[in-house]
Amino acid sequence: MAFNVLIVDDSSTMRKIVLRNLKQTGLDVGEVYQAGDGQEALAVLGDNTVHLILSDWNMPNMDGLGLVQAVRSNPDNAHIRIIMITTEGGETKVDEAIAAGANGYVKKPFTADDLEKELRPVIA
Amino acid sequence: MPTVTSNDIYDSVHGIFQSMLGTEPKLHSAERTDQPLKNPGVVAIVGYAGEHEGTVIFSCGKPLAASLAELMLMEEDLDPDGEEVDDAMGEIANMVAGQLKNLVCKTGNEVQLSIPVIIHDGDYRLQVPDGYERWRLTAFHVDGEPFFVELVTAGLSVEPCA
Repeated sequence: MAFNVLIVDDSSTMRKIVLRNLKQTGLDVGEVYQAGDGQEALAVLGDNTVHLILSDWNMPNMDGLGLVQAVRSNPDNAHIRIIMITTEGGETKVDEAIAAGANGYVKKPFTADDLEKELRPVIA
Repeated sequence: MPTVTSNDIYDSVHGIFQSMLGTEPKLHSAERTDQPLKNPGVVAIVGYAGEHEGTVIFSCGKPLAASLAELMLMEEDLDPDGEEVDDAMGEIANMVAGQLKNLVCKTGNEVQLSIPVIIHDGDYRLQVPDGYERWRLTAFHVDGEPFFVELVTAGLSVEPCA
C-alpha cells in the first residue's frame, strides 16, 4: 500500500531535496504534502490522511520537537510514523526526539540511501 | 576547551557537497586571519550559542551561488538574486554550522544554531570582538570558482592541518 508523506521544513530548498530523495528510494510513496513549520503541518494533518512525517527540527512558530509532541498528544495520530531530518544530530537531541515520540532520525547532509535505510523498517 | 581541526571543518564541507550537491570541492587553504573578507557576492551567516559561541559564514560569488543552488535543486537557470539561491545558501551554511555543532557536541557541550541570514552585495564589514578568532577556509568548486567558509569563534580551539 502506498503511504502518504508530509514533508515539514522552513526551507523550500530542503523540502525539494527531501522529496527528490524520497522518490529515489523506490518506496511506494502516495500523496506528498508540504508544510513550512509545525503549525502548518498540524493544519495539513487535520485535512488529510498522512502515514509518515519527515520533519526538520529548527523552524519558526512551532519547531520539529513541538510538532512531534503535538502529534503524539492526539491518540488518533498513533499510526503516523515520524522521522526527523535535521542538522541537530547530537545524541541529546536524538534522545529527546525519540522520547517525545519520533520513530527515527536522519542527519543532514544525507543521501537517498540514508533516507531509505531509515524509512524502510519504519514503514514496514 | 574543545578542539577541532581545519581538516575537520573541510571534511564537513566536503561531505555536504558530496552528498547534497554531488560534487567535490578542492581545499585551497585554511588559516587564522585578522583580515575581513570582502563580500564576494552572496554571504550566508549562521550563529551558534550556548556553551560555545560563534558564527559560521559561507560566501561566494553570485554565479557560483546560483550554480550551487542549481546542483542542490537539480534545476537550471536560477536567478542569482532569487529566493531559491538565498535559501540554498542558507541551507549550506546551516549544514556547515550543524556539522561543526556535532563536532563540538561530541565533547558533551550543548550549542544552539540561529536561523540563516543572507547578505547580497554591499560593502559590509564583520567586526570580530576581542577574544574571538576568525578562521577562514578557502576552497574551490570543481569549475574553479572559490567559496569561503569562515568560523568566528571563542572558546573553541581550531588547529590547522597541513
